[in-house]
Amino acid sequence: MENGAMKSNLYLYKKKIINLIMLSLSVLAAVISIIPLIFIIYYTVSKGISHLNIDFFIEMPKPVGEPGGGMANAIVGTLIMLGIGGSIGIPVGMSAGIYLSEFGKNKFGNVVRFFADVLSGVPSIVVGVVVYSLVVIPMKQFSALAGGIALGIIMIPTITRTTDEMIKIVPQSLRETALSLGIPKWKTTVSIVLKTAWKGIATGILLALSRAAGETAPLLFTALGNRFWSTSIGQPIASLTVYIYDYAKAPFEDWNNQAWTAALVLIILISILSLLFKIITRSRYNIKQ
Amino acid sequence: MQEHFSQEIENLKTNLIQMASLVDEQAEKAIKALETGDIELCKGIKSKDVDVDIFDNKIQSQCENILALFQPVTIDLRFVIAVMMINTQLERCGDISVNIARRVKKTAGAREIIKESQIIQMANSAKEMLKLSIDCFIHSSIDTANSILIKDAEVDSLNKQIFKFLVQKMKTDANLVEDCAHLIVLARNIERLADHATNIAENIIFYLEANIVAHKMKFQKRNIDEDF
Amino acid sequence: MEIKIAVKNLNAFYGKNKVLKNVSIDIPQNKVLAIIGPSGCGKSTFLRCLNRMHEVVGGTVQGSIMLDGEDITRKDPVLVRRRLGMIFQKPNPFPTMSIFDNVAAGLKYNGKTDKKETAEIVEKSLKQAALWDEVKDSLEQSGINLSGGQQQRLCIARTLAIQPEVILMDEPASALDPISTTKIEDLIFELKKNYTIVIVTHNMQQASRVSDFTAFLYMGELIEYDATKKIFTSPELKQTEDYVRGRFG
Repeated sequence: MENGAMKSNLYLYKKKIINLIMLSLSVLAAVISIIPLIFIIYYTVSKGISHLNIDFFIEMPKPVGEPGGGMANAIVGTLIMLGIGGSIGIPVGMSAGIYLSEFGKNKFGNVVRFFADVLSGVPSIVVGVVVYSLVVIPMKQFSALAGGIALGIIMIPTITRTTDEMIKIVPQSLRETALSLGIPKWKTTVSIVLKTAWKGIATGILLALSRAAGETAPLLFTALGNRFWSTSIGQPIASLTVYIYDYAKAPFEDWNNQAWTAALVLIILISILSLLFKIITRSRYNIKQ
Repeated sequence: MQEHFSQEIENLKTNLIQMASLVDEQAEKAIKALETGDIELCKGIKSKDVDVDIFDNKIQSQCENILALFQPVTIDLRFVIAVMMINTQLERCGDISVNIARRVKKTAGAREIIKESQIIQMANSAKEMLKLSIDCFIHSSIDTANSILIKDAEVDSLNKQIFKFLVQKMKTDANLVEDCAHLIVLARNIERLADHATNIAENIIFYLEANIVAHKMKFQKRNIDEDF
Repeated sequence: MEIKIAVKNLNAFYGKNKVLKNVSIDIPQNKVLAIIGPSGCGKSTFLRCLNRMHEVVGGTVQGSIMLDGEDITRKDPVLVRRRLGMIFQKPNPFPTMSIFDNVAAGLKYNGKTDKKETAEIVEKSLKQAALWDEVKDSLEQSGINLSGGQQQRLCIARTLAIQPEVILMDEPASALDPISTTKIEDLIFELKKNYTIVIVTHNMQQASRVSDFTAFLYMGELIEYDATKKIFTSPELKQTEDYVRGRFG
């Protein structure tokens, strides 16, 4: 009897120790996973903060040797291209996602899904080259439009797949309920299903936008970059990433520092974007669980 | 669950059969005493009645439990309802046997009149009906139940004849009035015994065929619509 | 007794699988019909055929379902569903909508936009569903925060708001606690004054409590259909009796 009790005590003890080890390991893994992020933020902030001032947002780049100046044209350029990319990627991606989840339980649907997966795996520089030969060469001009199109194409597969997945998560019973109320199928999809899945889809869109905002390679072939103020979509346009690329490898310390600031601004931009999405998609209700 | 329920039903059935055999014994003894005039037989009938009453309460609470815990339907429900009603009938039969025994003692000196009247014949018929009704419950036999219903009419008509006979006796000899009065009550008790046996048979028909046969003749005579 | 729905020789299929075999039932108006039978007997399919939901999951039907003399198998399913509302097993208010919007959803997406009229119908429906007193001060709250029983009554109100003629209930209380179940059953009793109700249930006591008529389905066939009183006291067929006694198989 006593022996048995001791045995079970030992067993409990062993279990507790294993528990502790596993817990420490997973905490460690979690810490390791955020270390790079901490470094990135630390370096970007510490190196970029010195040039971060109002001028950076409203001034144009100064020639080499002249201190100060900003990247107003690059910030605007990035936003314009994100706008163009978004207005291509979001509607196309979402429509494709809706099609896949609601009507795509057939061969064609599977083919589309497969291509979306492949497209999301295509290196962005390849997308840049393709857009270069399809848009830039015929227009005989690097342009914001070409850059936007490249970003849009990069966004499509992410948005398509998240939309598809998020709509699939919406319980079938909700669709059936809506249909049973005599709501037509398309209205059910738009008003009930999409509304319910909206939060997840928005996260996908945000992810796609953030990724597009950070792209450099495809822009080199399409938007090229521009040291001057331009908001014309038919002209080459500046972007933060291309500036980072140019300034970081330049042999001038001042430019190098500005590259850090540009990186910081890019991170801030993306953070603001996520914040905006959080606000937009915030539930109207406090849902108790 | 199903097995548990079957067990409860089986248990209930066993209890009712045990109670029935007690009542049957009481009736048997009382009527034997009437037949033979051996009032020694009447001893113990009254004390048995307590055992019958114990069964009465036990079965009632068992039925209540089954209804509350299992909520039976169709034939199972009718079985429990029938048991509840038969339980009451049997308890009354026990009481009646006690009454018969009492009257037998009181009329011990009137053997001549008893033999002259058809009272023994009637008592045997009633006893037979009670036995049959118990049998009918044990074997769930619809034919036996129907045969009991027919026998009841026989007992009723005997009762009427006996009544007439005893009244006649009282008219002829004032000394016989007390004995005859006791015998009228005795006959009436025997008639009640047969009635209860009939009711038991009706309850068994209800259980087996989902058909309420009680009062049927009366309703037909008065054209009462039976679709309740 | 007026017949609201006359189902004749109804066969239902999932692909090649025949799940309902030649079922014919006359469903009387302003009565409650309970459909009972073991899992997989086709009782939910039967219900879903009545409001054309069977085809949503890829099923097909043969035979006719006459609602007031019109064969609904040949009509626009969207219009059919507005006449036959459905309550599902699990309470499922629209999670992104307020209590008010939930009840108004059917009206709103069916093109009724008059605000005053909508508000009136919402109130009336919530009252009919015996939920008004509990939610009248929190109409703008999410329906998700209500208790299970309240949610189910919200779903009933939502269905009542489209002003159907028939209410189909697919095990409406099987996910609820006993008190909520009683409330739903009381509600059914109340609702049959104005609606024809068909309820599918696993709970035989519930079927016997709420319904006027009971149909017993087994392996896609209608075995027996009679007054509930008859089915639960002395059904014609042994198979039915064994099922209601719980001695099946």
